Amino acid sequence: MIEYDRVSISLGGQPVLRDISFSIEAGEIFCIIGKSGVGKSVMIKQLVGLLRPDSGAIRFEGQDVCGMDERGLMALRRECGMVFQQATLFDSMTCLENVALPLRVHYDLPEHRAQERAMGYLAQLGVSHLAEREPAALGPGLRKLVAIARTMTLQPKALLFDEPTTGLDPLAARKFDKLVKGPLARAGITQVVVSHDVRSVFDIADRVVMLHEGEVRFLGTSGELSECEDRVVRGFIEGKPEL
Amino acid sequence: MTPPSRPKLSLRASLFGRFSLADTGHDLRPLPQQPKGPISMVMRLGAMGVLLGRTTRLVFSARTDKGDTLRLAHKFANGSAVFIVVAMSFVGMIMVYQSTVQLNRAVGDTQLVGAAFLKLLVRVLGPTVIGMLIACRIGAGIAAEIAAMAVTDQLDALRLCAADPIEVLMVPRLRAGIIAALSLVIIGSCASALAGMTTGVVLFSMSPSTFWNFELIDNADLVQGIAKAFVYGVTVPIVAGAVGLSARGGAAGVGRATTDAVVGCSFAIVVLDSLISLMSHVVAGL
Repeated sequence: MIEYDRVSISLGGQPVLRDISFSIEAGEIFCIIGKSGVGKSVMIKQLVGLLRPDSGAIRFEGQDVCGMDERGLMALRRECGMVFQQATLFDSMTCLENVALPLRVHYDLPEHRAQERAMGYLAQLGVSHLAEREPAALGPGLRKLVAIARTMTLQPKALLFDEPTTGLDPLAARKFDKLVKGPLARAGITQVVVSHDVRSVFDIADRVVMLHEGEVRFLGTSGELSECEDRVVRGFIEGKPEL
Repeated sequence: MTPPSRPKLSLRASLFGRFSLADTGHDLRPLPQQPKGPISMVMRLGAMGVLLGRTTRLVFSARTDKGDTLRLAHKFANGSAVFIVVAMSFVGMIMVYQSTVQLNRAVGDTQLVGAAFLKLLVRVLGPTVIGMLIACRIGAGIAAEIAAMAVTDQLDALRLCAADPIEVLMVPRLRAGIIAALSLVIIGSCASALAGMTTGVVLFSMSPSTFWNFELIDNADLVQGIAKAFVYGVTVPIVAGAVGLSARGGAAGVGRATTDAVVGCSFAIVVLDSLISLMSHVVAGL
């Protein structure tokens, strides 16, 4: 469904990713791990056209993302949603208005119809009571749930999460894991999760890729990850820095 | 297999640096080295031109809620009305006081103070001074709001909602800016004229009928005044929006964007005022 083919990118003159290749199957929960600054977020931003690789190709359902024009990217972003690390809700709107926005803008629905449908998505995630609250008044966990509801309104085939459990308390983080493994997986949505949270990765991932110094250091199932003998991989999952 | 090479930076993408306002899939990364000096200025002007083109193209076709425009127009006009009425009243008082004192000294006749002041108010003073005030009040607000969205990834979030930031953010602000500028120029000019008349009547015993002398004002003056108000209503949201959309670097970036927006809008208004006056002189001999 998603394919990275020899992708390289430099930022600010510094190479970040070099010849990265792997593919992600439909319905899979795929985790990208690695140290901070290794290019994990860059990987998923490239997938939705927010960044362009220097070379290589990224394909979503066989279509080359890098060659897409504005209209193509709009269509892609309906099928491939992304939840940012900071949730990025619009502070000038209530939670309900935030969730209704894609429906209003994209499907041209009148305000009340968009809000009716948006309410359904908030209810699915158990946060309908937050509808009239302003995002600024919510904690990071609730903001993320509202952001996921907003992304769900376009009924994407794939969801990208950028460090979803960062800043969450352990209970909220496990709740997120249940959401990924439960309703989102049952809906057949392909999920790509960028994470530092090793426990969460072992709980949810079907497969994992670990990036190190711009290259793929490990690619395999979470079971294979736990048994991997590579010094760098073990150091990361056991939280032992190389000195 | 040879990997496809990265498309070269388009002019549009280069102009915007961090992201393409057009969201056309051009390179969204920061340029390795941001140009400075005159090149940077030319690039900024180019960016504003591109933004103006894209926004005006969408003015009639944007799928945004029509209520957004009215809400913003109300916010812009209502929020600035008191500030502009008070400031323009002082401008009117000062202008009438100074011109009456100077004319009294020079020729001893103040019959035409009202007529000359009203002509100046309609042609230049009203639209241009109010344009500058709008730049401070509305331009700064637009730049700060959009810059805060830019530095917190909210613009990317908008794109990922399959929404075009220009359609959602800029189009309602452009429409609202035009409505607010036209109404504020009319309200502010009236306040200035009333304050000027009061000054003439109270301090110089001028009769109101002498002050309200519209003989020097013709249709061309009105057209020029309204044209200037319209142009400033377009300029302020576009300049402030372009600065806000290209902001980066957290709170400091928002601060820089706000300062740049006020400076850019004020400078643009002064330059446009000169250009419009010059054009009317050259084309219509006004």
